[in-house]
Amino acid sequence: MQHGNIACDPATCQITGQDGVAALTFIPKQEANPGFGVMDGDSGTVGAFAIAASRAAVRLGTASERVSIGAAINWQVTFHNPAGAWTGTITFEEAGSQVLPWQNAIGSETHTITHREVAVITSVDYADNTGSAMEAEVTATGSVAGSGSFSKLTPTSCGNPPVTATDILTGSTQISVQGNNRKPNSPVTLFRNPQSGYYLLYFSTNGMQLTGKSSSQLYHKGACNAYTDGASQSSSNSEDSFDAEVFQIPIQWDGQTDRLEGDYDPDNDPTGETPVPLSQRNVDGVPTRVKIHYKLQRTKQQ
Amino acid sequence: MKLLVCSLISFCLVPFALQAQTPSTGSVALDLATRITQAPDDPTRGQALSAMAQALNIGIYTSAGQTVAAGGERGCMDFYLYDFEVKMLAWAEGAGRSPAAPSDVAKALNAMGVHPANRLLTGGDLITALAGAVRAAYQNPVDPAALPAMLIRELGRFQGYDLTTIDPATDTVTFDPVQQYLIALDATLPVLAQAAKPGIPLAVYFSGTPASTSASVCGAIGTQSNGRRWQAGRLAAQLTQPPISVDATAISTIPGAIIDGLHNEAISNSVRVTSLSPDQGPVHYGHGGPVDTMRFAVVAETMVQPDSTGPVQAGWLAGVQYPAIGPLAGVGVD
Repeated sequence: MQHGNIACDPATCQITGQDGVAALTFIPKQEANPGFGVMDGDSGTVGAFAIAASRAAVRLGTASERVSIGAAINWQVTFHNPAGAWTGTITFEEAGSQVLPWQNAIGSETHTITHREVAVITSVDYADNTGSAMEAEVTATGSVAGSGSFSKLTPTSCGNPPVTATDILTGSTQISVQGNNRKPNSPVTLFRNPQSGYYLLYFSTNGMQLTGKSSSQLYHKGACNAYTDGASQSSSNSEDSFDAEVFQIPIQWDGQTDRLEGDYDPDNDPTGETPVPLSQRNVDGVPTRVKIHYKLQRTKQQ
Repeated sequence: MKLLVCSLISFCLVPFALQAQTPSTGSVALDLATRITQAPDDPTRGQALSAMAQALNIGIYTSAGQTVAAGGERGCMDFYLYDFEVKMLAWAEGAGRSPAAPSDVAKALNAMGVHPANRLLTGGDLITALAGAVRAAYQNPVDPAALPAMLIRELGRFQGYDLTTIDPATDTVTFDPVQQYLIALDATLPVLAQAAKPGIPLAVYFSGTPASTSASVCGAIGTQSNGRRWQAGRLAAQLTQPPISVDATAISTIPGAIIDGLHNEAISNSVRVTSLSPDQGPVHYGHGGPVDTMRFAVVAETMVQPDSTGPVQAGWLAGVQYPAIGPLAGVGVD
């Protein structure tokens, strides 16, 4: 029954009739996502078993195991297996101008992934890597309670090469960032790319909106294209968002192993296809760089 | 001088004479295995199996309760064989009933309650225990209780494998019907023998009410017991030791399940199940449209029945009506 349903005449369904014959027809399931996933299969036998009609069994009130008494007919079923559920973490390290107004940010996002339900982005950590005496506290508030985290922001430079702008922030340095952090909105699945021979670690993410607000004044001086001055400026603009994206990360997989761990660098894509979309991130002339580390374990297919 | 020579000759000859009169258990096993596997027909094979039962000290009775050969049974509700069960086993062995995988044989033991406390016995458990039982048997080859393990091994050698040299982890073995029955006997008879404790009437343990309500359902069964125990137990000893640790104490409280299981196993040898379908598949899951299906059909037939067409008249199976030779209804298929 695991792979389909049995159709048969009730009189001779899975038990022999007066003529000694039992006949049944097996109808395989329909795939939920036709053709999606790794070609997989299962096999077994159909045979007859002795029905325990013992008096002891009646006394004990227990069902005996079905003991085969012969006539095994082998069967085989094939199906596309979406490879079960993969659970674990996918960590993004992004560098570049993708987050404004804090340009040249580098940071990471850790996506904790489950099969059905997302997924909490546990931290957002953008920090300028140029160093500065000026620091700002950034509190990231995810869409899931308790997922906020703390990090240091040193928005002292922008552009490439960095332009020192030590007076970007004055007054209070408290900046809050709110928004739905990027998170997966699909199961993480694997399927094989017949052209490249690689398996593709496939998942998609929601878009990400950031709304930043300083508690007093936010000044910007320099070459960056965000703010020149003002108070309580909202940083909500189109450049503060990530669009929903689909990731297809090529990996080498033997089709059997239940654990996957590795790094993916789109700049060194083994298939030469750079399947992670990058163009929309290249703002302000600073190419975005993304590195992805995945650590996943396959669980039984649901 | 003459007296001395005679004494020396006597001294020297007596052990040889005794040896010739009392064959080792190993040679008995080899002889029985040869007779069972080389028998030209079912009656001859049945005679070999009757000899096997006698060597194991298992009594044989007719369905009317007449003695064919008395054994170690302690009464009408103890374990013994019916002569028609010997016939069924002879047919199954000769007709080539499919050999069983260790996992299927383990299922039969599980059905009798012979399994560890918190899990079921597996085929791997069985092979491991059996290999140990055979080794133990040959460490004390004159012990008659080693006979089932040795006979299982000898029957295996006729199939091309040797339980003394197989690697339980990698080698694939199957068991023919006689081996299957010997495994069940060797695993359960010692437990059954201990089910009756000294000072406790056997009736407490063997109080199963025969299917017939007649009071005279025993006939001669159990009246001529030779008082010796069944010759078996190497496998039971292995199964009850770690790491398998079958709970012998628990199953000794349900001797009826063992006796039923042993009779069920013998009786299942009267059935032939034939496939009416070739192997099926592969078929693929549907992609939203029509799908290929698989069709399975089997036919079950009774091949052996007791000599009398009526119900069994005496003993544990009294009142049980065996199906007539021909198509058999009620066999499960999945």
